[in-house]
Amino acid sequence: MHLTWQQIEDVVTTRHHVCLSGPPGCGKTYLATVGASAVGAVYSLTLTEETPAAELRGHYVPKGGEFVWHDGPAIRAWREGARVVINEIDKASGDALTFLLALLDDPQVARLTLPTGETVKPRAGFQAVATCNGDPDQTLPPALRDRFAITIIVDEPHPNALTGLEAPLANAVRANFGHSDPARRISVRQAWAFTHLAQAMDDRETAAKAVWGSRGLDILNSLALAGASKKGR
Amino acid sequence: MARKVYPVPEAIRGEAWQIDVGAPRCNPKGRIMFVPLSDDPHLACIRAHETAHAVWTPENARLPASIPAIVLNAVEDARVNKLCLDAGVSFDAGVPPEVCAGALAMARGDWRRLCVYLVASLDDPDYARMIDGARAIKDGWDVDELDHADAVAREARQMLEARLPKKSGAPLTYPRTLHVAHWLAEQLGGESRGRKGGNPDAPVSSTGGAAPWGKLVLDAPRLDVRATARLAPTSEGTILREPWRVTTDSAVFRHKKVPKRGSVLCDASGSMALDAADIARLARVVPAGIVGAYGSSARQGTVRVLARRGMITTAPASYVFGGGNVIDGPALRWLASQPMPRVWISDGHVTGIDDHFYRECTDDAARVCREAGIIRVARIDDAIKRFRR
Repeated sequence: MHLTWQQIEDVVTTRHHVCLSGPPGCGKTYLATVGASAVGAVYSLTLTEETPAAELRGHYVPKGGEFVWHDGPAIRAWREGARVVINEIDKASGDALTFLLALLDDPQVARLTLPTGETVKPRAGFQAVATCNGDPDQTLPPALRDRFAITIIVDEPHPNALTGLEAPLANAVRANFGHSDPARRISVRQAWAFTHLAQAMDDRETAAKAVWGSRGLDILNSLALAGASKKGR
Repeated sequence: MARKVYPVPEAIRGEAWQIDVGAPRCNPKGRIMFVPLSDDPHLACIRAHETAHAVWTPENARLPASIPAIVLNAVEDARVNKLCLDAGVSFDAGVPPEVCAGALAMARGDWRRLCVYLVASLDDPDYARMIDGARAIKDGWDVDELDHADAVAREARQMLEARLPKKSGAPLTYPRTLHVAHWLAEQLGGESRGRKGGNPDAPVSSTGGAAPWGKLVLDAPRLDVRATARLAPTSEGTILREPWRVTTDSAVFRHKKVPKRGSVLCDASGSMALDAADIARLARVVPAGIVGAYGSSARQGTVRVLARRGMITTAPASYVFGGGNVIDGPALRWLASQPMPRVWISDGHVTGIDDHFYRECTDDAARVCREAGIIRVARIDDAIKRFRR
């Protein structure tokens, strides 16, 4: 049984570390960064296999004739008791992974000594919200997976993401969301790209072809039929 | 691999649908749709038509015993096509020429079937082509009979939209379909005007006991392209074949592969998404085997050998089949005579002549499968998995 978006919002608001997993474009990052639960400062970062720990922790930068220390987003979130949103956490490099294990440790024991010699610890209110596309049980290393006692699978798009789309298109996005066959999915971003393009160009056919290629004709036909008058039903 | 293109019936009410490759049909109640999924504008018309059934054909559509299913389906097709056009869905690309079976019906001397095809195709841009095709064949017909069929079809189509008494149902609604189908069945009822003069619904040929199968024709087009390599890369050997691999997997030599045997028969009825890429995939998993496919018109079908011993045919025309099953039994008997293991790729629907369901046909096909150890799978991918085990 999966949670509704409102329930997810309620859970995230409690300031526990949470890992949100779901298909691209469903609204995980939206909820964590600008949703109702995002109170106070929110630092956001996206990991790649090349992201070094220094980018999260901080590093020296040249200023005038000397080097000065510059906190990274993770340490800043620690100091301020803020939320840090870690996108694509399953892509963390070995270097970043080791740092994340320290960052996400229990608040009672979490300590980090920076290259400046200063030891910092998380201020009350610090929270990490991680996002990934795959199943965390499969994609996260056990130690990192263990840091996220709360892992939520998101299997439907955020309702705000579909508001404003024509009803048949919203139906199509919702019904095929996370379908096991990628050829059947219509992503939220594609739906919006089509909507904006069709309005800007005043040409739905070209917009559909631009967004969905040869499938555009089929999608356009289905939208026309679904939106047809009740006559004949 | 050819890209699959799916229709989106989910747009109608937001409910999930099962969509699979197969002879085009739609079950709005069970939310199951079978359509060809190839990336082809012709086939987009078929997908739009089946999606339209999902919109307009009632979930619990009544089928009165007095109306033959083929007549009711034709009239319902005509109604749905008209509603499609009203909704702005264009059929300009037309259905694939091979689906234009009107000419074939005419050639076979089946006047009633010709009428039924014409009713179902009146809003199709290929309607004129069908008429021309039938006119070109003539063989044993006079022009009046063709004109008569055309007139009956146009009358039926007109009745779908006309103002009629209330008991006939509102224009372009399902009750109106029933009304027009009843009228059309009466028009066709006693008129066996075919060259053969017989009842087209009566079973005629049989290759499996009492089962009324259609006639099987075996076709073996030229196999012109090798889909599998006879030699596989290896890191041991004597003659250097692929020196550039030394920096990657070190497989710089080649050795002869032990080819896998087996037989695959694919039900290609209903313009299933079958193309050279699919056949090449199958040929690769059974390099020493044989891959065939079949489809049919109303009473005759073709089993075509598309790959044998790693060679495949790439002629596009080789992948074109009729829309019906009709020869499942004889085709399975052909498969039974091929090397083991034998795999039949099919949705499991078995029909006899005129693409009708007959209990005898289903029983016969099941018997052949049982006795010959034929394994049925629903998709090409499933067949490939079976052979890879």
